[in-house]
Amino acid sequence: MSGQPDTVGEQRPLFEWDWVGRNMDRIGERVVEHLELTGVAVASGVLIALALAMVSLRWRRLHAVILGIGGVLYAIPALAAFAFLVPIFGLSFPTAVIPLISYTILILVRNIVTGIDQVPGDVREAARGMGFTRARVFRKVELPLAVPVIVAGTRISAVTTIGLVTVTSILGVGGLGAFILQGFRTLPIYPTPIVVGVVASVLLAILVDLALLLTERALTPWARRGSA
Amino acid sequence: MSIFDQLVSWLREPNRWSFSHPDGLPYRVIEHLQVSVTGLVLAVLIAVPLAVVLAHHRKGAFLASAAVNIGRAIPSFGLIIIFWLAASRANIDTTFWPLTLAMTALALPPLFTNSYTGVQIVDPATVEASRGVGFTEMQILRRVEIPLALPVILAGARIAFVQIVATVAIGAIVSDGGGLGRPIVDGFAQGATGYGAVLAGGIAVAFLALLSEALFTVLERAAVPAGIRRMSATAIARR
Amino acid sequence: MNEPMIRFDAVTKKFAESAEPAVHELSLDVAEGEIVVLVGPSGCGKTTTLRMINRLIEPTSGKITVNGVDISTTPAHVLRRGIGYVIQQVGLFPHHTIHQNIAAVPDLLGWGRDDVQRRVTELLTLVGLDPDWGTRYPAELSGGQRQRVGVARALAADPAVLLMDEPFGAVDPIVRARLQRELLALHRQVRKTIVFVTHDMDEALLLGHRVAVFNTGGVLEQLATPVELLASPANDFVASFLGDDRALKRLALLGIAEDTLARGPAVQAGEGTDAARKVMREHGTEWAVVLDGERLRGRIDLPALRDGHPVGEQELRPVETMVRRDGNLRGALDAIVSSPDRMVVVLGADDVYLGMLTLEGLTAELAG
Repeated sequence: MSGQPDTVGEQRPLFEWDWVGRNMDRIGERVVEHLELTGVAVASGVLIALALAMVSLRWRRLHAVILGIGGVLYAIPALAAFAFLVPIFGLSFPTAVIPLISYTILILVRNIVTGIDQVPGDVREAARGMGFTRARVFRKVELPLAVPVIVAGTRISAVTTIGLVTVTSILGVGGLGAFILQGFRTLPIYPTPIVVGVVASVLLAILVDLALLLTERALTPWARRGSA
Repeated sequence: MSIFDQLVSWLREPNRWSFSHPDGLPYRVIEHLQVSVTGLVLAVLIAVPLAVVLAHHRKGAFLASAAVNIGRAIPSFGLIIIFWLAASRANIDTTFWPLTLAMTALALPPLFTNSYTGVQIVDPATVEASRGVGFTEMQILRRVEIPLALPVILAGARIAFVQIVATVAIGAIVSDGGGLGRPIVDGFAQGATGYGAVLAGGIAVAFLALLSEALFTVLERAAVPAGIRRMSATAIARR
Repeated sequence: MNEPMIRFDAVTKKFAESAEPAVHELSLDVAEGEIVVLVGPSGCGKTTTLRMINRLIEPTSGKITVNGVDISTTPAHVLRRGIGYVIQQVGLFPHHTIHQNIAAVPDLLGWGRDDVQRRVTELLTLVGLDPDWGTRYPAELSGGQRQRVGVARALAADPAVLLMDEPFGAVDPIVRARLQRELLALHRQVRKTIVFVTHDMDEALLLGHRVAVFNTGGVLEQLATPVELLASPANDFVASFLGDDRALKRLALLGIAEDTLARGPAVQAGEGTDAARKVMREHGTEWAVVLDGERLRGRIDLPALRDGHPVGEQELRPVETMVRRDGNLRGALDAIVSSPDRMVVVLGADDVYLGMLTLEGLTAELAG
């Protein structure tokens, strides 16, 4: 860690394939850790956001308040959030995951509410007219029809979270960021783990995005027929 | 010593309020803002002209949607590291420019997408009418499309800038700079005795991010053309 | 005849995405000060034709001249500054005040501030808006008012030609009727050459000096005055587009000719009851209209006559069915049919009695 150009010893090559071969097991572990953090954060985020969205839909005035708080949480830098939580939880999983959850709230609540708001009034009216209870309308009509918008929000949250999880490595909770840290804490700088960490994180984001997209298509068979 | 005591005693250490000494909190605020503002300005200069011209000609729509997705998938930490690595290989000082350019790269997607969308959603009838009365394409862009798109462009700048302010701090992990991230990262390195520094940096950077958000929100509102503001006011009143 | 203001010479427009041309070999002249309405079903190329005049669309082949000049030789934006353009969605600049909107072209042309101010005030008055409204924004105006501003903006630099693309398509029927009347009044004042696109045949017949009926594929089926069009449509397409009530529409375009009017049972106020009875007998009616000199005072029925009291001393009943001399035959027919006496009284200026029109008279007028 120096402001001066790295001149210590020889430079290592930018990428060494045999490092990857030697470290396949560790890469696998790191990916699992990365996915665990992402999964816990996004799943908790979706559950919390769903609850907050229902509150927003029931009491419209609270919607702006909830979005306002979500906006503030979203604007707080990850490093600052860690700074606030480390004194309480130490360098631990909760310290890493709580900020990650908080970043998903804004996007998810907004998308769930928008998704349900855009359900055509006549569809809702028809369901009510057939004797659906309010709760049943929500579960059977509004929520399914809002799936594309909700999944869109989840995709954004998941991809953003995967990127942020690389930073949580400074808390020593693992994930692909650990490779990045390892790479530049070694002297001379070891670029291979850095490249592996970054590239794997990007690939993971793309794959998770794709998986969620396929989930959406499976959940909304009606959206594909007819319009295509 | 409680966390609060640690914070107070850290703030009382020598040079803590210096603008010129690297230990100073104000020094780090300035550094943080230098990186952030330079990064944003460079991104604006690159992304906005490109986006508005492309949007005017309805070209490159895929870029607008792909940009944000790519931007999200690339971890900002990775971006910082890559620029830092490149600078260190090229024997360039790693304190300012690699981090700043990483911030520019980070800001490009939201700026590009918002500028593109902002121009694209201008009512086609308005553009048609301005062409019909004899505006040149440049005049349409400058007098009609850009003023009407300005709030959306500024929203992109807000998103980009808040993201930059948050991310500059991460730069402290890899470089000597990193603005307000410096005390946080150094504090972490000291373990339990460093909480005062961690907390001070955390509060300062959170405050800076929220302040930036608030300032840009005000700017955004001010940029909404008066005629549109009245329109949305009546639209809300009608509901 | 003078050089036409606008001339289409064998103009064809093909769009890349479709095999059929949007406009096919169109030749058309528009005289100075004339209103030509392009009408037809959607996809007939009427809007394409209009938009070729200000080069928003470039023709594939053929030549268009405005005021004798081939428009392809003038830079598009320069050409457009000399041609007013009004569209259905109006397209006012939402971020500009009414004043700034109307001043758009004068500003482009570099007019001085005072000239612009004077012109904006003049135009607001011309289109029937309060000149003080210049400081308002488009969002504060109703649809009809916005369309008036759109017309004012198009007229701002005093262009010789005005292009209007379904300008009244988005306003409600009552406002539309008013805007149509105002456009005709405006035209009488400023005498612009107007090319007007609509899909509404009634609007075309009302506004056009000549109407060009287009068919799909951009074919001009007929170009004629409204009366000619209704009297002798060129083919079945034109006839069906004119509608089943073609004859009635034609009546609406025909004025009342004074020489087909009958004098009818009319007595002068002050004449004796015998004279009145005689007039009624001669016309086979049990009523007569009462005149005071040339002017109509009312009507009197046979049972109301009292011997020894000259006509006019009794209470007169108002004449319920009458039309003005400058009305049209359709209004007259409507009045005749709804009158129990099967006639309509026709009045000139200052309530001067001109005569009566009956079904027979109306038939004679159509034949003549």
